[in-house]
Amino acid sequence: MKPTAERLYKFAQADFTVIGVRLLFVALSSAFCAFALAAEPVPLHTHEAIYQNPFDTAAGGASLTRATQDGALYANPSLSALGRGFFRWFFARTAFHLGKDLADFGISSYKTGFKGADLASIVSKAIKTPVFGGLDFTLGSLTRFGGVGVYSSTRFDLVAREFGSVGMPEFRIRGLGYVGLATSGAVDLSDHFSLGMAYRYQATGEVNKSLSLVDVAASPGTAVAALQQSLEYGFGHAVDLGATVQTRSRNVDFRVAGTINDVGNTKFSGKVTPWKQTMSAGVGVTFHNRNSAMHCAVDRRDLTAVYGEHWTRRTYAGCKLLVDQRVGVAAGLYQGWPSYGFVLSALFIRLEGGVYTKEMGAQVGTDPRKVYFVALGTEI
Amino acid sequence: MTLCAKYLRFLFGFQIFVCFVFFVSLSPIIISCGSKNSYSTYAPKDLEAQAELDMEGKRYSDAQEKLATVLSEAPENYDARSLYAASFAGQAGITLFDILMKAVNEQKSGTANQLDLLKGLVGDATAENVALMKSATDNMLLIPTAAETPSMKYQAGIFQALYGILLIKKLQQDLATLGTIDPADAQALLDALLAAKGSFGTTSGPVDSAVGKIVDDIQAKGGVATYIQSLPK
Repeated sequence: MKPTAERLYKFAQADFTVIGVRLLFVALSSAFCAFALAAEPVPLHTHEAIYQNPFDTAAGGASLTRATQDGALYANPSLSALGRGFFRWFFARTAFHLGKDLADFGISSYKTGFKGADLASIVSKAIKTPVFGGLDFTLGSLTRFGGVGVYSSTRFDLVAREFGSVGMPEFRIRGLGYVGLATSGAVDLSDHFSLGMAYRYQATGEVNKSLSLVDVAASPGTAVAALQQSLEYGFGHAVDLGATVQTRSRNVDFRVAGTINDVGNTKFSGKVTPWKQTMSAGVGVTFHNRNSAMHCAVDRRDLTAVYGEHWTRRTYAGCKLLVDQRVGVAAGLYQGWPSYGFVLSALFIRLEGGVYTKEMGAQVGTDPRKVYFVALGTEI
Repeated sequence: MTLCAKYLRFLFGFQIFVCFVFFVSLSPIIISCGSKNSYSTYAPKDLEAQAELDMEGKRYSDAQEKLATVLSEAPENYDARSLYAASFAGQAGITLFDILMKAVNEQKSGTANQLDLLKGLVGDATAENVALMKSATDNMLLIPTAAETPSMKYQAGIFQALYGILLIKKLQQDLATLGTIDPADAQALLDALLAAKGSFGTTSGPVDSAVGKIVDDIQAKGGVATYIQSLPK
């Protein structure tokens, strides 16, 4: 490349980077000022990523600027284009999520065997223990030009309230599950900027029902029928877009990323609630050498608050430290709740574990579920 | 120094530095020990949800304070009104969940007498408990019939029935200690039981059938006073 042309090319690169950074900064600033109070019950799916690598969840869920392995396919489709080499990963992973309340109940029941407890106290404790669980599975491959994968994710939450919304005992049953095929394409326009697009074909099922004591006591059969009727499922096509801007040096990288998820709203067949188009942005910094890296990031999801959630529910922040690409620890604030985790990688096996807290209420701090997770996967 | 040694020194130094930065930057999270939400100070206050949490934690006065604020701003918020009523009943030691659990035990122990069963569901007939249950029933009566959900209607019926049972206990105490009963309390008892009957409608649960029997007995005895006198001490 001739010197003049090289200068022009570098100038164009720098200019593009600056414009991108400014645009994202404006978007981030406006989002930080946005304020919305959720007046209605929170829908089962809002701004959250359809799938997140467990190690990224432990790092506060901030994965827009740097996602771990399979997470890159779903967090931000432009990420795979940044970095050296062609092949990124082949991945297969299963993750189990278990609510702390249920785990504690199981452990205490096993230890004490309910010795000395009357029937009412056993029933009361069993009913009042929130049952939260989940299962994720991903399989796929990622290259610098995109990837392909299949995924499934299920979450369920069953809780009894002594005083429901009107003072009556109430059972709240919520569940969301989906299975789908995802493909993505990514291109790096320079060493500083990449674009990506992902397409998903997804089957989704959901149940979201509150049953009062009257409903259950009056006619258990009717209550079960009402529960069955509230089960909705359908199929839909979804498109996500992503862009990432980065500056790199020998030991420090900065990234700013933006995504548009569910472009044009993702509609499903049947009566499944459509998923709204959301815009998200994140900033991140990575300290690294050849084998180890520490990445800290902040993500703000759903910048325009289309789901009407307050920023405290849409903010994810945290750090992940990976030493020699073998051992890693992560910590962060997942919707403001502390999260922790680790990763151990040896040969082709990858083990991840940790804890995070998922907010089930309309506002943070109103209905949290502390969740343990463990994931076992393979990586090449 | 060999190249390898230089590299190892750099790698070691870098990782110590990164680990230091990692733990310093996350120290607020580590110190908090995972017990609190760092953003809760900034989150909007959902008073109804917080009141519900207060009630789950038996902090009824706190719940009443929050719900009074909600109702002062939106008196037509009948969900909040119904929750407000339940907070008074809870303060009097009466929650529908506990009643259900007591019923599980009573069923197991085989208590036969319906009145004794209902008496076992309410606490002592102190002036405070009677006043609290009156507040509970009065608040339920503020919900217009057209706005009542089946749950509200059932809750209103239960509160009225148990308010009536509490009054029976009070009248029995008054008769034993004073030798007489207050006609106003007697009228309140009859009103509560009739209102409970109206709220239950045609349902056939154990509480509504017991209430129906008590009302029938009162009418058969010719009034509340003679009915109370006829009850075993």
